[in-house]
Amino acid sequence: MKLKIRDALEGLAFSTPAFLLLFFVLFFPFVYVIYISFFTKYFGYEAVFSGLRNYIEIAKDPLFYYSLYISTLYTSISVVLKLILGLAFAMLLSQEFRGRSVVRAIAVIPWGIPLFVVAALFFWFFDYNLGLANIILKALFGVKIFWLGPDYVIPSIIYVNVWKGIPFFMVNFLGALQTVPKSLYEAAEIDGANAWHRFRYITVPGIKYVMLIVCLLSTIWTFGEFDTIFFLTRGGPGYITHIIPIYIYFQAFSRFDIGMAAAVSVLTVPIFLALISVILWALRR
Amino acid sequence: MRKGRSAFIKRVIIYLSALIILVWTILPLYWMIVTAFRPEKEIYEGLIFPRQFSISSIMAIFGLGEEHITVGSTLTSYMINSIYISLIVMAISTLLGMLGGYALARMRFPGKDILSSLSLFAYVFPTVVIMVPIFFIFSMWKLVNTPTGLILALLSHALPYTLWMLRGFFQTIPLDIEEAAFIDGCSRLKTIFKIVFPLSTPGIVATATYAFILAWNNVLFPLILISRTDLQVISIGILNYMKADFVPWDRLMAASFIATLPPTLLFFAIQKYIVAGLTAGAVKR
Repeated sequence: MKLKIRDALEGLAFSTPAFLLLFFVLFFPFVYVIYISFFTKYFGYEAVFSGLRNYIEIAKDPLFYYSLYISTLYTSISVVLKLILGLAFAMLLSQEFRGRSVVRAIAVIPWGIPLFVVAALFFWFFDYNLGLANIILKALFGVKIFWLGPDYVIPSIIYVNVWKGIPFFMVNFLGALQTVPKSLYEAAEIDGANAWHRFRYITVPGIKYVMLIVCLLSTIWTFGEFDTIFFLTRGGPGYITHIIPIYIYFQAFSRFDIGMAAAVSVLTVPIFLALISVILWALRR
Repeated sequence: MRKGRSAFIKRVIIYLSALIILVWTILPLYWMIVTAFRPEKEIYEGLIFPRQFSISSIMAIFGLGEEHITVGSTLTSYMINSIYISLIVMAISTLLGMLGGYALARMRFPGKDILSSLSLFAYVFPTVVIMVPIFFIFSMWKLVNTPTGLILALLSHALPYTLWMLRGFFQTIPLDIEEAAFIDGCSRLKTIFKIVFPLSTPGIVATATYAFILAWNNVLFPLILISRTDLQVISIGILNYMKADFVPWDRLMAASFIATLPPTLLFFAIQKYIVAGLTAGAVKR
């Protein structure tokens, strides 16, 4: 009994500094954002309790629905593309061929590059007059497009997100593919299973938990990611790329409406909580 | 004959796909590097391949060399601030993460499981949710426009990561080793500091490195917490270039190149540990 108490005290002594700090910089702000979402509060003014007013305001704001729609669209298309291309890259790079390790090393590079650099990179790459994308299009097809203009901006930001995100999928899939026993493929081949069947009934079940975790993590990070779109378009042109994180930012730092910004933040929490809970469940499997 | 032919076609498909992966990944990077290392005048000629090599753009972001056509402030102080802030975040998050991570991995104390899950939740959760309260609370605590405020805010992201990762690394140290040391008369503290931590050095170094990268790559916290240019970090320096009416493309790309080097090189050094960390549980089966 004495030892148990000592154990508990030691454990608490070791973990207290970390969690005390997290209490102030994470837990307290988290509770505070819920609290302040029930107040009408502007920068420099007193907070006035207003119950559910902010939530009602949001429910009446067409821009909120548009932001939710565009966030969902952007996230789901990006994640699906990253899943497909990441798996394709991984399956190619698990084949044996000369120069494979070089291709593998280069294909991982986007993962290591900071998001703000990725944004700057594509800002220049997509430039109408001087960007490489249009120089190539001009040379090949004789056309130039406004990559970040109203017509093409959504495909363009998805392109940026997919370019940056593929290696995360690819590397995790490469690891997972190695754990699928080779003998299964050989046995299936003897039984006359074709390539699609081998993929469908051996590869996919073999890596399904990794696929689940990677997709969920990517969904959370894509949905919550602010950096690239803020740098590339600031939510524009107009409101076309006004994803939820941009909506929160402008409510707080352009309209100075803290209460509204807090309420939107709170509304996103259940989405993230649900996704993370599934990840925890999958990690325990 | 037939078999040889289909094998040949397979080879061709593999090499073609590998080529596509390379071009897809390299194009935007190529454009950054070419722009960073050509004379400023050449940028406006719209040529895919550079004619002249020049480091005058790289020099210019540090305020060295001749005058340039477009205006843009020098980034020396931004760079120094980034290094300084990221190193402190790395040191604090690693130290607290080692103690807390060990407690979560090995010690028995009330609330341990909740705190473990909490650190994963906290790491995965998009920081955009606490953006508003962090700004608001830090204004009350007079932490806006101070390095301390930025460091604390960055810790809210880095510390959960180090806790979760180090917990994982410490769990992989065989319990027998610790018990053997214990039986030989080593005290608990001595076992931890003389045996567990030294044995986990690769994991600790990798985690610390990634904490540095997380701090370096962050955009949101310096954006909302710092408005004084002398305290600002490199990510915002790049944003300022992008916001200019006449974007100084040469220096934007030179700065992007320089700002990419530390995190990308570090990332490659520790990549295998990072991948093992997050999905370890799922990849094993």
